[in-house]
Amino acid sequence: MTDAGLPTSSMLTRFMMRMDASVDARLVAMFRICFFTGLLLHFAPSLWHLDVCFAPDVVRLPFWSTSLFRALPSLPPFVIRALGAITVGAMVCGLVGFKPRAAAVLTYAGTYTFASFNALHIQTLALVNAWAVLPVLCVCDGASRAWSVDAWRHGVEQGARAPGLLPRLVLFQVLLAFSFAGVEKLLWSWPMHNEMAMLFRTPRGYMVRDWAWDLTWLHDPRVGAVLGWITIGVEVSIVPFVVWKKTRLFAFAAYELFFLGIIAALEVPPLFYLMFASGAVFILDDDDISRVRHIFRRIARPIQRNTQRIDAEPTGADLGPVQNRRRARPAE
Amino acid sequence: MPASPPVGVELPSPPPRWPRARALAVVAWLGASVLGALNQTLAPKLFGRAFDLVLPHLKQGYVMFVEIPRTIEMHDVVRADGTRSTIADIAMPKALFYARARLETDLGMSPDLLPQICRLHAHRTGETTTFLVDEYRLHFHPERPTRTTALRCDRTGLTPVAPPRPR
Repeated sequence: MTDAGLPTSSMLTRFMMRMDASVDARLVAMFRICFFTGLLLHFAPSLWHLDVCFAPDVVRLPFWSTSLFRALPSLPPFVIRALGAITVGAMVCGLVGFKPRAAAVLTYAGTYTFASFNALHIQTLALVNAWAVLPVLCVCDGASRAWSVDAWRHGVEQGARAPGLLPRLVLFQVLLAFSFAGVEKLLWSWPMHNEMAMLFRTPRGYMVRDWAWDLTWLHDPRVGAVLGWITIGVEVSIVPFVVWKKTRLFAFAAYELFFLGIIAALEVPPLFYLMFASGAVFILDDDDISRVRHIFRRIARPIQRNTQRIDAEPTGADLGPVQNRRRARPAE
Repeated sequence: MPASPPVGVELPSPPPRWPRARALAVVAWLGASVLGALNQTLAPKLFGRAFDLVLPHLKQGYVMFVEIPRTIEMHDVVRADGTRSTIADIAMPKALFYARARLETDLGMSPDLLPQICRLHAHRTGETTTFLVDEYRLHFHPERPTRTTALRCDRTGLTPVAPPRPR
């Protein structure tokens, strides 16, 4: 029997042992900060303008709970204001790592309520994924073991470890959404209809950022087709490349570049980028992190050496009057 | 490269009270997520529709535009002094870092939003403006609008007018 009370030989036990293996708490903290920042950036503008977005007489769109949608006109304004304040407060608590589980419960309830009141200014697919991550944050422990108010209050040491269940469930959700986006595109003949080229054919300001829209070669249907196939290729193949240890770092880099490309070229909600880009850090295990550190050190060493050489080179002020005169002469 | 030991301090965590139930709950959660993903991708192909799986995160697929709309409307504003700007400049969209795209998508989702923007702007500033709605067809000369509709916006609401001549 294991410490957890499961028979050691069962497949379920081995699976749970892998899921529970601890991770660097700073990775979990990084995800927590990015995730709640994304939610805050997404919701705060609408919750700030409650009279324009969530008043009974404004244009509203039902998308989620119809009963909540119908309930809005009967609610007094101070209740809506209080709900908005609680939702924003919960997001801030999650961001700073103060009782993140309670913060996740309130954030889930608040965001779902406001999205049901009016989906018009809020609806995005990233929100659906956020609602898959929030229950995990509600249930699992370990989101505030580093870089958080809780860690500071409890005096947690630097370099603490966090339980592995939370990061692994988050990673599962992020990769599931990413892979099935590719499957969905394939099933709906996305590359055959060259939807990527269509995206770059949309008028300026619709979805493509201005700098990308100004690149005329991006409007070429052949470029669109290539980019479309690359997109689907990365999406569909990410899981096997992540599972195979030898290609994991490469897959991680490709994934991050992919999302960096999307946020740089397309006008998408910051929540989309912050959640997906940060959720993938859990791809890296301790070995991978030390490999990344090693790579960065190798890159940084020559730069550091050059900087030191420049710093060590004597300046005019350090030289005596004779040398200063010599330095001045070549210009004559 | 040799495998390095885990970095950091392992904090003691109490063993779970019901380990088997916990493990089964994790498997059920993962299974439900996969089922939701299959429901949004395969079920519409096999059964013609996706089933309602109750939980919010299982109710939608993962691609925003599985098909980019082929006809797109873009909205601009011509002020009384003749200056033309995007509608996002007067509507103050409730979105950070993607304001114009958000507003144009919202206008595409709800045609009633344009009169609301007009009403709020007219009541706030008292200014009379002209809204220009440019319709683009992506299959047919996407670089220029195929049709432009002009709507005067004042305190009485939106009224169709002749589009201003291009300078």
